Amino acid sequence: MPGLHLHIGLAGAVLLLPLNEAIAHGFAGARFFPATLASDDPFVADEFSLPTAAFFKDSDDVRTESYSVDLAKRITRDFGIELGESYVSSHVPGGPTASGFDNLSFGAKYQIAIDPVHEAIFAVGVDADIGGTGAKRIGADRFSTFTPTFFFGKGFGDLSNNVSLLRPFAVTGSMGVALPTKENPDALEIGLALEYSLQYLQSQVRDVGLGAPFDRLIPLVEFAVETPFQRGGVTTGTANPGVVWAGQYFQLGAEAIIPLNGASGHVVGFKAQLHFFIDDLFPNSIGRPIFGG
Amino acid sequence: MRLILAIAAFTAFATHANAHAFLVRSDPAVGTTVGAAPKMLRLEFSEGLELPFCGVDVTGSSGALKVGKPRFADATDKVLAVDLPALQPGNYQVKWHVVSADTHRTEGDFSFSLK
Repeated sequence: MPGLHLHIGLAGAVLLLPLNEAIAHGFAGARFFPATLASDDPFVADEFSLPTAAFFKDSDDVRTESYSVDLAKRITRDFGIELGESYVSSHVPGGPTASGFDNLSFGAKYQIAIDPVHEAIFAVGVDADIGGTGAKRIGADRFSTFTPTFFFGKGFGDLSNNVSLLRPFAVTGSMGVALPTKENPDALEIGLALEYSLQYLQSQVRDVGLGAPFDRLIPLVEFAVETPFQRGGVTTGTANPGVVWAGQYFQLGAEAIIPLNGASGHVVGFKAQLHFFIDDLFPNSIGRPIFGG
Repeated sequence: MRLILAIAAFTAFATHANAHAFLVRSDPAVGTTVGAAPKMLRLEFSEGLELPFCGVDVTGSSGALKVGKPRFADATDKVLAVDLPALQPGNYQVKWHVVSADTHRTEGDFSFSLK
């Protein structure tokens, strides 16, 4: 049943792709949160990821390469929209290669609150994976999926001086429910990123003498997990250790993609991203919110 | 190659821009202990600053110190200086906020100690 194998394999490969590539960076008090690669983070921003490239194998040994473009635009200071598209190429072992665009994703996000003193942020959003806009041959869904999501971010800068070396740590996370308009079961999507900012260490805690480029490095590990609500559904997910270098106008990120269980794959993959800060590149024009900037 | 050219063109359009200002280094250095009382606090940032919108507060064990308004320490617009009163041995907390030339506001705080 090579046709069925191809279909299942490609569907699995596309499932492992995030519905919306991560995009957004921001500040909460003295804390700079970089844009994370595998899980979306809580800020609305004017940003542009070009590209995010990912290479991995799923549990059926389907080798997938994806190249994504993501654009985020603030409408107001606290409300923004995001648009994403990926070109996916999947290679089934012993079978054909299928390539094409995945479904277009469209998202909206609202920052509920930012607490500068405690370096905390909370946001809500919804992402729509628009069915039928992607290529059937790569397994792109013909139906849409809506994912309302809660986001948070917290820096540990308010820890006591007794544990000052822990203060550069920060965590961002998201929890969403994927609601397909047809067939597929609803699923819980969880993203988590644990970061250690060397820039924060150097400027807020202790000058340890780091020079460029190390003084802008942020080692991190991300987790992206999806659990179907349906009984017997299989949880899939990855742990993504890596590093982000955040410069003045752009950031570079690279992460390994480590499957968390057999259903998520057997081989370590790789993801890299070049990400531009439009608000810093064009602060007086397209980098400002449309209203209230 | 096309992608690299597109990226180069994209950033070239923005070479005049400034970004969020990060604290690059300070004197006294962040989190250090110094042996002699500094007469001046020097804060070097990654970007040019709008001086009227910058502020520095220093707090010791006896409360806030009178440090006056910050000024530029040199010919660039990236280094702030504030004069310090005579400091006694102890711990000091520095809180700063700045606005970079493109109007982005950033803030931070750190401590240093005097033996």
